[in-house]
Amino acid sequence: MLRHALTLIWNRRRANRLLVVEIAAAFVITFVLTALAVNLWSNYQRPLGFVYENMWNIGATNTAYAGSMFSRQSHSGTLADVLAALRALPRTEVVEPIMTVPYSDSEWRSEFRGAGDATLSAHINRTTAAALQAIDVELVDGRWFGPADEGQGYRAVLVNRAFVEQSFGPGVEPIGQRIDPPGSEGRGAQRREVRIVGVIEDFRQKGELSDTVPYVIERYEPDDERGPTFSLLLQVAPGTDASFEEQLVATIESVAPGWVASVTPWTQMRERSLSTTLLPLKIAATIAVFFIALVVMGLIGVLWQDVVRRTQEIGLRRALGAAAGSVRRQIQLEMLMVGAFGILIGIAVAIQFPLLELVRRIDWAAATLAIVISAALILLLVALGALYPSWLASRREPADALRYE
Amino acid sequence: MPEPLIALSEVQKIYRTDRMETVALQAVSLTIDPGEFVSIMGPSGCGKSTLLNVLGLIDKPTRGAVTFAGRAVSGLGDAQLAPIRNQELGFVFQSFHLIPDLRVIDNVELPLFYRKGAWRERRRLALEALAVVGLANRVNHFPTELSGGQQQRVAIARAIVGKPSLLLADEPTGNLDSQMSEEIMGLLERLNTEQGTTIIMVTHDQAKADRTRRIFRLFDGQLVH
Repeated sequence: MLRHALTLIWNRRRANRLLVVEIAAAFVITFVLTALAVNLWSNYQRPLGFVYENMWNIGATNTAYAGSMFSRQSHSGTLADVLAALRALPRTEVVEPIMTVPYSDSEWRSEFRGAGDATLSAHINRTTAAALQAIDVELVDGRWFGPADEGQGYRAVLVNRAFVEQSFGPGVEPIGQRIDPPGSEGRGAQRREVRIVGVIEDFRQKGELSDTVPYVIERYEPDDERGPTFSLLLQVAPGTDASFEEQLVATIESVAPGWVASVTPWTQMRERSLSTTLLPLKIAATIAVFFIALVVMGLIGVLWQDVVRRTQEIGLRRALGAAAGSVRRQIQLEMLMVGAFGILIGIAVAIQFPLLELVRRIDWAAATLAIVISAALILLLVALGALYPSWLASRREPADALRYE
Repeated sequence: MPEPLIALSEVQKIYRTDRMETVALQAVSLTIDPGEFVSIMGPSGCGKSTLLNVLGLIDKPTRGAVTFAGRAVSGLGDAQLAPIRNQELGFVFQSFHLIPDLRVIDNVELPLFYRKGAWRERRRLALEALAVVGLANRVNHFPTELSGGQQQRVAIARAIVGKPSLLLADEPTGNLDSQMSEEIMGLLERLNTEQGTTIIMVTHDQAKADRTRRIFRLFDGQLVH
């Protein structure tokens, strides 16, 4: 049967061209959507690198900052007062400054020294070891930064595993490595050597759906010459309700006149971040499902037309002694083989995505799984698309099918 | 007295649509013995092709019984009928019904494809059948590359490749010129006399019908004598 099917497919290669193109196009569309879904699902399954329950964000704006030269010394002094006042509140467990709060819209990136003279772009944050411990960031190598790094000639940083893997590769001890970008030495008095003191688990500041990226966390220094920090990470006692927010705001504004504070639980920020990330994806998925439905209908239409066109042939085969089931199986085998050929062409197109890095989220891991899922789905559709018309055609009496035009 | 190869008893065939019923065959009874060459004649629309289809087990009668080699076949399902069609019957159609996407050799091999047997053996039998019809030099052509007469000879080769006991020919010369018709008639006669194949042929042509042993005349779905 296989040889016969191959002979027919080869001899009908011109007629099968449209079908092959349709199947290849359907495969590529399915592949892109599946690869994106696989990437998001795999991100969602990976550890986040921190906990968000009972964590609140306090944002503060200094109304005096825009109007006059801001004194960092006065800011750090006021901040110390604010921190002390907040720590004294009964439901406060931890309160620490942080440059960029997880799930917030903002992100900072900077260039660092990679392997050899190469540079590596990494996300950057700045906070204290106490803050990281409060959100259960796991230290996997080295030590936390802390008082030992005070007043040193280097700036102490923690990096995540992804940074180590992309920057140094296997077999290189990251602790003690200098990662400030090559050529930055001596560029102004504020430039200090940046040195790794510890490695943390992967930390995905942008949330569950985000990719794992190289991440650097600098030690917070109260009198940092690069500017003040206006975000505070607050861990509250379990069961603390929203009424505590008002108390927090009142406390800040009484200790630091001119500061305008706002409080947002991380759970709320997480929901907003997820919905912001998912909204365009939901819209794209809706359009994509509609598009795939069109492709599937087109595919079934082409298969239907192809099988109906062969009604006389089906009648002839049955007149020559083929059982209806045998003819059906043969047509389905042929269609599956044509489908497999279309999928092979689709795969040739699909592997260009990770190969040429056309879409950031479609890497080799997502692409491989997406190819398997899309191929299975398209073959199933082809089998189903050929099933009904071939069943209808083979139900006719052979004499009736031979008369069909 | 030999057992008839095929027998019809009170066969009726009615085609039904939503709006009307058409009686194609009415109380047809006949027997055909092994080795006979018979023809079916009648005006257009009288039910000749329907009768041939019922005799060839590719259409089911609405009523009545069909017996093939002593076995009642009118109540059999597709799975039981398929091997009988494949091993005992061969068809030649007026419009040839060759598959245009298959080469001559593959078209001829088609009935053997539904039997057990090695590919080489199928090839050998197909080449043998093509040699019988004088087309051994056209095995790799496609049907569209052949003349009408050649296409009908390919169809005959396909019909005889499985060495059937009954050959059914529906106006086998209807689409051919006189010279080609003569060639095909000669071929059918040789198959009947030399190989003992039973042949039932539908024809409009009295001269060709006269060359067969018996003629069944059909009018308005009924046999007339």
